Amino acid sequence: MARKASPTSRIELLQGTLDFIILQALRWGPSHGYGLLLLIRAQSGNVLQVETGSLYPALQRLLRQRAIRAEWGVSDTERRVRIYHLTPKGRERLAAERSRWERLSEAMAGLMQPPAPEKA
Amino acid sequence: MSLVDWLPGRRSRLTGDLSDELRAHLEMAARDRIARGESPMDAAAHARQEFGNPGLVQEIARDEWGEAGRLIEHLAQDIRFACRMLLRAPAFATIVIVTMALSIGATTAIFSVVDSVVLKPLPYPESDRIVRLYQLTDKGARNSVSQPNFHDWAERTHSFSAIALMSGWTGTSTVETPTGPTLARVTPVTRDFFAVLGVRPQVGRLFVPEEQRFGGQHAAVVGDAFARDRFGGERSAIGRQITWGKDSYTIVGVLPPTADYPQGNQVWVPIELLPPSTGRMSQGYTVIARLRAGTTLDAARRDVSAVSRAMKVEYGNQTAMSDAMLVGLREQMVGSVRPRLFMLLGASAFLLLIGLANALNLMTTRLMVRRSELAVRLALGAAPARIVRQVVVESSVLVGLAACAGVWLAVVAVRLVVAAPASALPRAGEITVDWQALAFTAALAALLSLTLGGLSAARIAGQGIRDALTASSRTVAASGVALRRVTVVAQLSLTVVLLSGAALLGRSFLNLLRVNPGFRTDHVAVIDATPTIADRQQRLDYYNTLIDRVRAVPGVSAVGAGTGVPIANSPPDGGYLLLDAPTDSIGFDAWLTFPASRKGHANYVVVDGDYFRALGIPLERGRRFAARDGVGRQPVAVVSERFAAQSWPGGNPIGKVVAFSMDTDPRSFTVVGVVGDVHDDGLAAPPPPTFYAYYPQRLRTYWPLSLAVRTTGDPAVVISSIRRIVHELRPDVAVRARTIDRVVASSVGDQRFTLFIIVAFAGAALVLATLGVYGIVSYLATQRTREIGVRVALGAQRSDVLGLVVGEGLRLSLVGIAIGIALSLVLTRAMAALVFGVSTTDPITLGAVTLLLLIVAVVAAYVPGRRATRLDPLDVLRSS
Repeated sequence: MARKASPTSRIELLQGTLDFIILQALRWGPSHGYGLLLLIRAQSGNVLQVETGSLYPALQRLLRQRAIRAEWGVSDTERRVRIYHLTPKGRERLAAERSRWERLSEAMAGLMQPPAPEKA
Repeated sequence: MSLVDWLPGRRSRLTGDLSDELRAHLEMAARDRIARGESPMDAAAHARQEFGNPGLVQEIARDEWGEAGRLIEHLAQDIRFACRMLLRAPAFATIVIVTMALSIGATTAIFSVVDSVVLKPLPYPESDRIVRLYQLTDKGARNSVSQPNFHDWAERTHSFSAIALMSGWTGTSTVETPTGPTLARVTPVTRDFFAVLGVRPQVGRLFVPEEQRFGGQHAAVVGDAFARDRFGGERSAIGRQITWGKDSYTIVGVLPPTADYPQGNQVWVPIELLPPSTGRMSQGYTVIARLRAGTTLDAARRDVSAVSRAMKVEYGNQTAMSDAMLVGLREQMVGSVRPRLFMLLGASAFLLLIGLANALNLMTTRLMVRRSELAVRLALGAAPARIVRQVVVESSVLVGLAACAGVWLAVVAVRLVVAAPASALPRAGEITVDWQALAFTAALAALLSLTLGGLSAARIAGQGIRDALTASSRTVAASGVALRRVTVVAQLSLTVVLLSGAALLGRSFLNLLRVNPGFRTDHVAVIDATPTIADRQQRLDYYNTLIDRVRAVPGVSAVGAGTGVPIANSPPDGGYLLLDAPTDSIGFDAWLTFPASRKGHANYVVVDGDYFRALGIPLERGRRFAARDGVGRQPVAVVSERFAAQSWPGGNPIGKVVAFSMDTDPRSFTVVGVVGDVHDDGLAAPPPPTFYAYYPQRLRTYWPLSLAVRTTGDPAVVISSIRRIVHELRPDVAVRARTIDRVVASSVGDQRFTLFIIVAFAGAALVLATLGVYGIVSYLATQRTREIGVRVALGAQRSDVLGLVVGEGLRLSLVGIAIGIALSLVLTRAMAALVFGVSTTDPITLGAVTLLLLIVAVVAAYVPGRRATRLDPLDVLRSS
């Protein structure tokens, strides 16, 4: 797969983060794969770049873990598409990941702050 | 993913879902771009560009389905690819599949026969507990049993839950049924016979005590086939009357088809209805028994032996039994064919190995042709393990197809074997290609696939495929060729063994056919037309009329009748005494008091008409029977040379007096002539001593007579006239007609059958070995094309080149043949029981085999060698 040079403003996702992002995006409602791609891009302010080569394997993985389910439906443009829903199991997992993610963000933020001046 | 997801239908749906989904994604992306103002063509292109490679995305996404899924996916791909590869080389695939199918088919067929005949238990409950008992003589020879001895065994032994005696007579006799006369095998049996076998009637009942005493109600139990053939069904047979001998019997029960003992028996009657045989010397009965639960064969053997030795002490000279022994019934029934069948199984295993070697050679040749393809695949990143797996899958597809074809061949072959009357296998009716045979074949096929694939892969790995891209044909990796050489040597040595085995059996068979049977085997018909006439004089009249009428048939030159016809109908045998003077009443005491030097044992044949002339048995001394040996005169006898030699060594037998105990007639015989020996027990066995009595003088004989009819023309023509005559004379008599050459031919049917199979195997092996030698020599010649070109360019003669190429092939052949001869010397020793008139290490046979293989090897090597000499050195050097 030819890979374009990513702009510096875009971030390549860490392994495992994508699953969390997909679950988080599906919290707003069921969506098809292309919709998820647009949603993630828009919500991250065009910072997060998800490749189809990562998205679809992640969706298959989540399906297998029964965190999401899929059904065939019709899109706004009358096209037959596969729509993914969050399952109760997916919600549980999202909650767990969320708290873990928040702790991580806090820790990261703490690390980023300038070190407190040491007492003499 | 759950297991269900791996079902083929579910799986293809999943794959279809994914590609639909990705297509939808692309379309939506393109539509959004068009909405943003891009041209439709640009939009589609950009969407695809942004999307990446849909095939790869799909594959990566599918990888999420797990490891097992990927394996199955790859396996399916490999199989599809293997099929495409084989279709691209149909000649190669066909040759491999056909040769493997033949050898797998042969092995499966013979395994089925061995399994059904030798390995499977008899079709009776706990059949391994059923045994047959024998009396042993003081010399340790197995004998049949007399009724008094049986009764003593039944009383005194403790090892059996049931023990039964039955008539040992194995011939067929006329049974009259409401639907006409038929020839059937009828066996009188004692009360516990069915308990020994453990069979129950499928319809009706077994005998009741009222039917199991002398003078009781006459009842019969018949077999399933008899009931169907004669009465149209099991149920309709019950209560019907059949006539056997002089008595009528009511059918009370029908046994299931599995009850087939004695083999081919159709009617069982209570032996108790017949007058009991009270002579302790009157042997001729068969005894079977069922071991009591918990009793071992050895314990029972000791029990019977101890009881019998005690009986010898008690009865002394009154019994010919010194000891007794027992064998498992299955062993007794199939023991004689076991060496033959195991030999064939071994031979088929050899053929299989040779076929495998052949397939291996073809497979590697094929892979050498494809090595640039394999190298490209490696260069493009295919894992070497994947390539090896591909090779194994290709072999499995080949072997799998061959195994399917082989099973089909085996089914056909087994059907032919069962149908062939000449094969004469015991338990032939039970032979089928069953699930055990199929499991055997499946295991065999798996083993062959792995061996073939593994060895082929090992060879190409040895070649170093990665180098193949840069290498030209002149670089030969040594290891691949070495393995190839080993294969050819193995092929040749196994072929030598098969050929030696076939040659030994072939020579045995020829020796057998060269045996002078002692009688004419051409233009003689054997007719069995036994009437159910109780009155002796009426029976004699019937035979006399029949013989006279048959003699009058045009094309008949002589008619004889006898209680035995050599090989066709074995006569009874018994003991005799040598007397000093004729007597009218030989006393019972004489049998006890005579010394062993004046006793003997011989076949006893009662004959009438021109018996010796019809069968062409030559008169050596004295005279034949004549009309003046009338009914009331002192009985006369003719003896065989062997009988004369064992009774009066060096003396003149004419005028000597003999007492034979075979009928209730107490008069002694005076010998009037000596005739030549006949091979009555089969061509391979020595001719037994034989004693001939004259029928009009021994009317009390109760064995049926067979007619021997000598014809000037084709006996088949005469047979139909004889059938008509018998029908006119007695419509209630069933006729069985055979020509004696057929009888003799079928007596060696076992040997012919074995020979036929092993010759077929050896022939196939020879062809495969020839291909093997041809293959390796042409391969080596191709590998050395450049070297040969250079040699020729430098002035080498054609003969030098020929020597170079052919010499290599010959060296391998010699090594193979030498190993084969060594193997044969060891392995054919196991065939000692199967050869006749030739040693298993016969140098002439082995020499002939060696010569044949050498000639074949030279020809197989010469053809490609000759091609190598035709190479134009300029062409060769230019092309490389």
